[in-house]
Amino acid sequence: MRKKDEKHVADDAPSKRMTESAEDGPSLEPQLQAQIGRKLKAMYDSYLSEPVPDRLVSLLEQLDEMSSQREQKPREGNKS
Amino acid sequence: MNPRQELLQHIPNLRAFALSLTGNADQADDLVQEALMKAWTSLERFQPGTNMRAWLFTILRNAFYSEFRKKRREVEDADGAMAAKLSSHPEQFGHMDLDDFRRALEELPPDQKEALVLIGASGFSYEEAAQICECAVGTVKSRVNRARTRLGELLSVESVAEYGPDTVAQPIITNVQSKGRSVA
Repeated sequence: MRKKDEKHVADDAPSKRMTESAEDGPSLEPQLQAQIGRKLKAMYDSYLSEPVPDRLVSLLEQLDEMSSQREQKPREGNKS
Repeated sequence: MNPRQELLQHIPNLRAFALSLTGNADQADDLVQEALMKAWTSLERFQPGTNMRAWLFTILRNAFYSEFRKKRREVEDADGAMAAKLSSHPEQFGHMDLDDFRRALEELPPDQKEALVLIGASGFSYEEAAQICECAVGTVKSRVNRARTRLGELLSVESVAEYGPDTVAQPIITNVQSKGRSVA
């Protein structure tokens, strides 16, 4: 029940910790860390799959237009 | 591919990074917008063939920190209220779902959060992450470790609920069940 005390693991010795806590049943730490890794990835992937907001797309369109107008000579660019 | 198309390609990743840092869609989109404008105006300084994604992440990160410093004082009160609200409802954490994870991530200091996200989710190497965060590779490593340890602490209650009951609760449950049976 005192497993929680073993939680603040020294950064450089995680494997040692795991074997130590393994003696009183399966260690929570590796499972927990695997779980954390999966949640992190799941969270990030859910963000990745969100559609790009229109305001960002139109911002890039505006920037693109502005700079192509700048690049062209005013006389050539004024087709309209 | 023109620069706009190339930038466009990286927006989902930039947004995901910004959302991970802020936990807030409006703030994240503001950051992405700012980063895109900055990137656009300094596009000629970007060297073709180098890592555009890392370059964009660096710009977004800088935007995040200047905003973070600016807002820190204003937001302090709101943050305090939020923290109080969270800690007064611990019973809501039973099972570690994505929202629990997001909440725990919010608790991390930004330097640990960004290191964890860059390495664990964005798929950067430690060297790239060190470049983006403008620090040593060893610093990135220790920040990632500290982030994992802290998340482990914050989420261990849920994990006990998830993994623990076999050994911890089973005797109690069995006991209660048999008692209930003897009463009936």
